[in-house]
Amino acid sequence: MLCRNPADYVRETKKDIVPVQRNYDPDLHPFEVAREYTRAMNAVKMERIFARPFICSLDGHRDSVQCLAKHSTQLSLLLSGSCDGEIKIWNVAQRTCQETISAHNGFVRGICVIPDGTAFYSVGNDKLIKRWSMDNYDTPTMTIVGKHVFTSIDHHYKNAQYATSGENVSLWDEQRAQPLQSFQWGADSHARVKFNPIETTVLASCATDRSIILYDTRQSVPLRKITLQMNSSTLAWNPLEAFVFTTANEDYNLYSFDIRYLQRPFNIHKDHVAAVIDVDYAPTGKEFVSGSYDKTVRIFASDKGHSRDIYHTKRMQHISCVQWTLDNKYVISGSDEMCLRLWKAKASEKLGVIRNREAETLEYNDALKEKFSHFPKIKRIAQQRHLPKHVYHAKREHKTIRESQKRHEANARANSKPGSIPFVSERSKIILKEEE
Amino acid sequence: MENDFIEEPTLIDDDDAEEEQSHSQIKKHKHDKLIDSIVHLDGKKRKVTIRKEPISIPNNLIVSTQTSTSSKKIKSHQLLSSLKKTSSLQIQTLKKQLAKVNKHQAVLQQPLQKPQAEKAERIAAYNQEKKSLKKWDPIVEKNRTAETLNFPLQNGGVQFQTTEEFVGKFQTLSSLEKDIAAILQSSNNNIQPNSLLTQAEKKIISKMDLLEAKQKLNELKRMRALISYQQAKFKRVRKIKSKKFRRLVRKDRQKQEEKNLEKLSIEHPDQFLERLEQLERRRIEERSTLRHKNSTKWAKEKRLLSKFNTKVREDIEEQLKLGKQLSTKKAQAESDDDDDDDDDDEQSSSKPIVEISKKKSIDIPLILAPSQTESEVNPWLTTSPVLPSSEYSKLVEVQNEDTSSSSSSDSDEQDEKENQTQNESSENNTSYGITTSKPSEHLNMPDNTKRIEIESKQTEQHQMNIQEAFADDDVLAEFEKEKAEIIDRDRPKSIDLSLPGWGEWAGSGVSVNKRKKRKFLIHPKPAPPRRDVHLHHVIINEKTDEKISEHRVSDLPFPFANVEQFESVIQQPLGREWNPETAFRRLNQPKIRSRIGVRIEPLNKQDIFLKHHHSKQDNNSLFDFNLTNNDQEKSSSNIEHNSLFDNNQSQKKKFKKKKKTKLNE
Repeated sequence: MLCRNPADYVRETKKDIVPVQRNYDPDLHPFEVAREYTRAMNAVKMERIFARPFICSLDGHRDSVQCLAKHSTQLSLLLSGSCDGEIKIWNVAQRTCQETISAHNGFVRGICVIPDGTAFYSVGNDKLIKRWSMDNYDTPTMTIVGKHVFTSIDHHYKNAQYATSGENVSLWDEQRAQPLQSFQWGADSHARVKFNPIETTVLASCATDRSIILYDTRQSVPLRKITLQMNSSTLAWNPLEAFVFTTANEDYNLYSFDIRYLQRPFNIHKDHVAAVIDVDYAPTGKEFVSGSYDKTVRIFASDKGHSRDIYHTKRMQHISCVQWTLDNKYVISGSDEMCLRLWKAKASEKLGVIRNREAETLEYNDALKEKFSHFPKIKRIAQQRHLPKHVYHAKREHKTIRESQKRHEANARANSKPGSIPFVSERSKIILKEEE
Repeated sequence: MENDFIEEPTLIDDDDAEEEQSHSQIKKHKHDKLIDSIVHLDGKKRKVTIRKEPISIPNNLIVSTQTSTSSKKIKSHQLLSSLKKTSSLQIQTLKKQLAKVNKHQAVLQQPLQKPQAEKAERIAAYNQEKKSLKKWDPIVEKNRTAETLNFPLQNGGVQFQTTEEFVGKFQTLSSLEKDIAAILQSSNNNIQPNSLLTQAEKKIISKMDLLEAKQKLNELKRMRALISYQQAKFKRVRKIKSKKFRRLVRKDRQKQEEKNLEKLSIEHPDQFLERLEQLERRRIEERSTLRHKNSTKWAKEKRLLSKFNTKVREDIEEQLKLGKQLSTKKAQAESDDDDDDDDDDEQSSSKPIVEISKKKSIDIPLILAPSQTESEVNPWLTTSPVLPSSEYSKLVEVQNEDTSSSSSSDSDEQDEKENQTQNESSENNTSYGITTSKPSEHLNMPDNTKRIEIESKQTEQHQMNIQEAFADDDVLAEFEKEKAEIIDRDRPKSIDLSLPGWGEWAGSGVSVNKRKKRKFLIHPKPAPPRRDVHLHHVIINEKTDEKISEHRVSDLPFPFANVEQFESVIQQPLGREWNPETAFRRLNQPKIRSRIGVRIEPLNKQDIFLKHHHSKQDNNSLFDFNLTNNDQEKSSSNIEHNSLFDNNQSQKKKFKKKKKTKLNE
């Protein structure tokens, strides 16, 4: 007599999932590729439908936003400095401004939070370095009068040290009013200095003579200097790969370098149509966000040459600063029209609670999209973006310019003695020299 | 003391300044001069002396000024040469001391200029940094290639198994496992701890006779030596690049093959037949390919050069010859049979010709009599060579007759030949009915005039044969028919919209009005000319589904190396219908997992390298232990048998020693 164990098919409670018996016989499930292709097509369409990256704008500044800083321990806190010398502390989760400090006379050039998150530093056009406690914003706990204007500040990821840039790059101890060390190498002014988050003693600065200089806090001299074709406005270190940094350049491109091989960047990231102003890595190190003077924010995969996504709104003006939050979910941009904007890092990602089954389905959809990503129809849907008019036209214009330049070069090469015009790769073209 | 010594000679050597100082000395000097002049009075020229006025500068100063002019710096060895008057022993010691001083005279170099110094420092610092960054490579590589990364990455927190955990996981052995373990342990072939040999091996060693063992060893050694000699020889031969040598080797090999074939034909007729078939297949292959037709890229290049270079020309010719050799079916027994008659006369006189003919016989050892006379038999089918001997002998006879009719001139030869063939046939009757028993004998004699005749005949014959073979199947016509059908099918057809009987007084079956025909017959536009219009041997399919081509990938996407790879990826379904639950999850896991509200910090160097350091240390200690064991083995292999089996203590001692030395380090 046949009998079944009721435990196999009877649910214990009403909400329990019904056990499903599956038969994996391929004859019962024909046309797997065709069916999955359809699913992928649907998934990619759904993704575009749900791509709503903009979350909110945080307004309140009375002048254009100059700098942004993430809080090192609290995800919800965000600090922003504006051109009128105000620093605002935002609670992003509640979308409110927690505190407004009139910190400096003139621009606030840079803000950085110390690693334990109890205080932060700010520098301004008034040649002051100010240390603020997170408990009491009325007066700074310390003020240092510098000899020159500071353009940026960054804190060491472990030690009680910070670095400022200006006429030179200086390394400061938290306890002292004089810099521990000042590095100078040719350039008369430095735009930005950034500490390496992994190899914490290494730091790099963008100088205004189009160069990027590497330093080590343990050394008395800088390490190396490369000069690019155009000025780099800032750089960002990869938080997962100790020797990789990406610079935002004024020739509309971003360049990724391996600091051991500075002869050429190992990747060029193109897509912006105006000078790139700021760049910040995702904490996973796999992607980075860049803000440009062309009023768009773009997200690049760190190993790809073109952007994965572009964010823009009608009202957003030139971007001056971008940040990727430490939970890898959001991107924040600050722009000239006095607003901070909060974006989703993945435009179509669902926020809020996702149940297990839904998560599995989403993962399946993602896998399908990736699997069929080379198929023309799916590729087209996944890649198509509506661009602002000026970006669209500028893009086309740049394309024709690039093509014509290439053509000119090819013609020149074809009509001259073989070998007289050597082929120089695009990557090595941008490096003018590497100084030792 | 050394300094003193250096100063002293300088004082002595520095002119006569000192002497000029004191009056007495001056007097003495004058006196000397006088004496000198007297001595030189005998006609020789007097030495002109330069007058020097005495100066009242202190002694030391003069010395210093004179030394500082440095245009003529005095070396210490020069000073030594002036010391000839002193005893040789003293000079020796002085020399030694001087050498010592010179040796240890380390002079500091001039410091670099500031920019250069800074540059050097920068380079050093950068190189150091570069070196230290190298340690990140494996980690970066791992993170880049990881299938999935769960953020935040747990860098630190090396977990050791606590005793409680171990106890919790520990399971006792089942009875079966116990039994198996017991059996395994009791085996003689188990290697015991602290001994190099198993019980079984020990037994063998103890039983082995010493002499016997030595003999065996010697034998082995000899064999090895022989092998190594042979290998060396082969290696040397393999590296010879001379073309001539290669040709000779090839010829040798051919000869050898020929011999083998002969042997085979006698000893193993079955294998011989197989070999024949194989050769025949090779011939067919050669005929079907363009390999030796000088149409390759190499040949084309060479052909350009061949005008100027005789060697190249030879190469090309050789290729062609090879192709010919392989493809032609020359060794026809009939023709060779013909030649046989002249054999006896010319064999001694014309050796090279003999060789040539021999060669040909190697190339195509088809010694079967081909069906030249019976043209209705297909040559492709005659390769089945096992014929009854009687039939075969008949065949041969018939051929002979034929050839005699064609060349009726030499009837004497004919007789001889008949005799021969008869003899042969009788021989063959006794063996297996094939004339392959002595191919070289048969094929020895070429007769040029005859050969040409025969060859022309052969080619004709061959063409005839091909025609016969494909007599039934008319491939060309078939192809043309097929093409016409396809063209007809693809041609756009006019559409007839007329309805029979519609608008007519009568019903269906009435012929359609011409005007209506014209009106309702829709003629399509003429299709563009087919792409294969002028290609008579090709059909190009012009009916592709454009709708589906929109969905297809046109190029091979980047990471894939070939189409198969890409297709295999596409064909692997990911869904639940085709994969079990676990596989489904594994296949679809995202590359990056990060949770909302969880902070991701940059990699922590300390965590990572502390962990690595720990694991490395563990490895090192393990490695050390292994090393010691190995050492032990090596050392003990030299020890006698007795000590082989109980070297526990020494091992322990050595291990301890090693540890101690490590600690000291």
